[in-house]
Amino acid sequence: MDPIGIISILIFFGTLFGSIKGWIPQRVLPIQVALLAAAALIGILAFLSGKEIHASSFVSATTLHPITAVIAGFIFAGALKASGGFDAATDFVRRISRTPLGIPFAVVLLVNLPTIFAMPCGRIWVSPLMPIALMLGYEVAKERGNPTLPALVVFGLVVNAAASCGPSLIGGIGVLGEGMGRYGTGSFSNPQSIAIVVITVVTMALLRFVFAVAGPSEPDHGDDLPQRRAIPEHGYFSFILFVVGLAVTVVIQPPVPIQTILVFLTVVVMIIARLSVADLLDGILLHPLTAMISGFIVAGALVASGGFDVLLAGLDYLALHTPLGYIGVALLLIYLPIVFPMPCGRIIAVSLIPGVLMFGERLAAVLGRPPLQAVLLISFILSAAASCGPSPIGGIGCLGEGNMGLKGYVSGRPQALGIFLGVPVAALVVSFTGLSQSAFTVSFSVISICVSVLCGLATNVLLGFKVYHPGGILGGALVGALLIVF
Amino acid sequence: MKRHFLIINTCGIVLAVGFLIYLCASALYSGYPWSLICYYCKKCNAPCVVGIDPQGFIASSYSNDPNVSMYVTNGRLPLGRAMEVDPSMVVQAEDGKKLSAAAMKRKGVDPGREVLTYRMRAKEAAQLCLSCGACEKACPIGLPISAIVKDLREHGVFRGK
Repeated sequence: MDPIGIISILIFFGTLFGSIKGWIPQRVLPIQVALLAAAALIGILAFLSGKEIHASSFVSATTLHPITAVIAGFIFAGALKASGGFDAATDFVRRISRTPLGIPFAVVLLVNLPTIFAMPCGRIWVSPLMPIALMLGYEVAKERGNPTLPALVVFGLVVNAAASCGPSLIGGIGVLGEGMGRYGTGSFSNPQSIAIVVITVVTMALLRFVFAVAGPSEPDHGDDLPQRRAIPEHGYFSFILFVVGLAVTVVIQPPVPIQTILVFLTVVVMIIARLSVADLLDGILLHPLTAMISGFIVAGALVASGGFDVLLAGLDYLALHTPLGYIGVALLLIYLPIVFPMPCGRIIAVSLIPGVLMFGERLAAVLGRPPLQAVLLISFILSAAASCGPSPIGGIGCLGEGNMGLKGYVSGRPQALGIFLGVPVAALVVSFTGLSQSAFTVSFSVISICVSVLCGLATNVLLGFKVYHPGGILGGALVGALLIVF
Repeated sequence: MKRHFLIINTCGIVLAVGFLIYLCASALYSGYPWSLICYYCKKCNAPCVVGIDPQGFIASSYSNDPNVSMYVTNGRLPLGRAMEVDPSMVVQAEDGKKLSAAAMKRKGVDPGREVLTYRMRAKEAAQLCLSCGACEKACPIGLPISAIVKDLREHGVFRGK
């Protein structure tokens, strides 16, 4: 094993661990700067050891797609906010919650929306839907007299959105794995979607019964909550344009980049609502963007220094020479992104997928089960995709914690556990139904609706309603049906 | 946050944003600014019979560096030829181990023996490309990848230079 590679990987994990544990205080060195410093150190070490290091090593390792998709998503979220689209969405959800289907229906639909219309980055959905989740959460908390319920709704949405880039057919991590492994396009999407519905409800259950995260009884950031005021018509128009635009994009998958579509929708909203460019800036969050950029830079440094090769060689060694064996190391590999959660799952996924493929092939050969490669790959991809939720260094969970005024990284553990328990669902679905590029198969349709209805029943209980409340059941059925269609 | 940390950290963030600007400028300078819109979905990878990962050409173009290393997992050429082209080219041994061509030769493998490629520089991968256009057809947004391949094959550098 290359000693420079070993040192590089130790520097990387040391920086990550130090930042996560607080040994490198964020008020001294935020994660972005810490990762940049780590990248510089690794680069210098590699250069001094005689390896060829060029600027192109870092540039070629950067995946620009999620960064530009998030920028476009944030800009559109800014337009939505300025035009009253958030207020309209909240009004719409409030009306749904006042129907006989009630709050459970609204909650089930809301928290699963990011996976139904999966985007290349979950932040595209979280940004506009967070105020609605907060409103719904506080309303149900007031109604049920349970202060842990806002966290349920908010972090249910967060973990669902975080994982949603896995099944996204427009440049999601799943498509990346399909391409690299030469599997059929879209074949990884179905099992992931079902598993994410389970991850969502398990996370919500953990927040309710185990971690009991209670925020302030009244929202701290009143300005961020949609106000009860007259909503202009262009607000409703903007919100409908947002949902329909993204839904059509997911269904049709036009040969136009999603970024272009989002910018086009932004321009339309700006014209209708007479917004200025300054109005759009409110939606932009620089932290996750710079965290992603610095993550990609350090990934480039690790590729150039051989750090990832060392990691894979190390896992190979563990499989052959320790009691862990191939199965133990496979589990380690699957959950590695959760152990070291980055602000974007692609940072680890892109570098490790070739290794996962190689390992999966060996695992399949050793156990005599060829589908195991796909099982391992899908599980890893889902774990990587969802890992940005619990990441304390610019992950989506931080958005929820900040909006709720919570101190510390309280949502990390419930999300990580939820992902830990939910990822095997994807593995089981692949094992029993195989891979299919079409969602309109009997097996997937049945599993999707049954699992979603069960999750709907569980949501009824979590929100303090009766288990057979029609809201959760019909909400679950609708989510299951929409997963098949979209 | 103390003032000097404020300055250091602000410079760090500006550096990160500057990196993004550098990336965009690099793509512009290579003559292929459209390479920035690649989804990095790897759909172009599956249909290539030579095992080329065409996304490597895209990465090479937005890095403006024809020497970017990329996967070519089904190319076949004699070890001697691999050594001539690039001694650091990664090839696959019979036992599946990945070694550089130079390391293979040091192990005593006959230079006339055909080896399976694994990773090589983009400009060499362009020589192995069959120009079938399957990767372009598979691309969900129809990026003209063959334009980059043609440029690399004919000139070995990007047209921006």
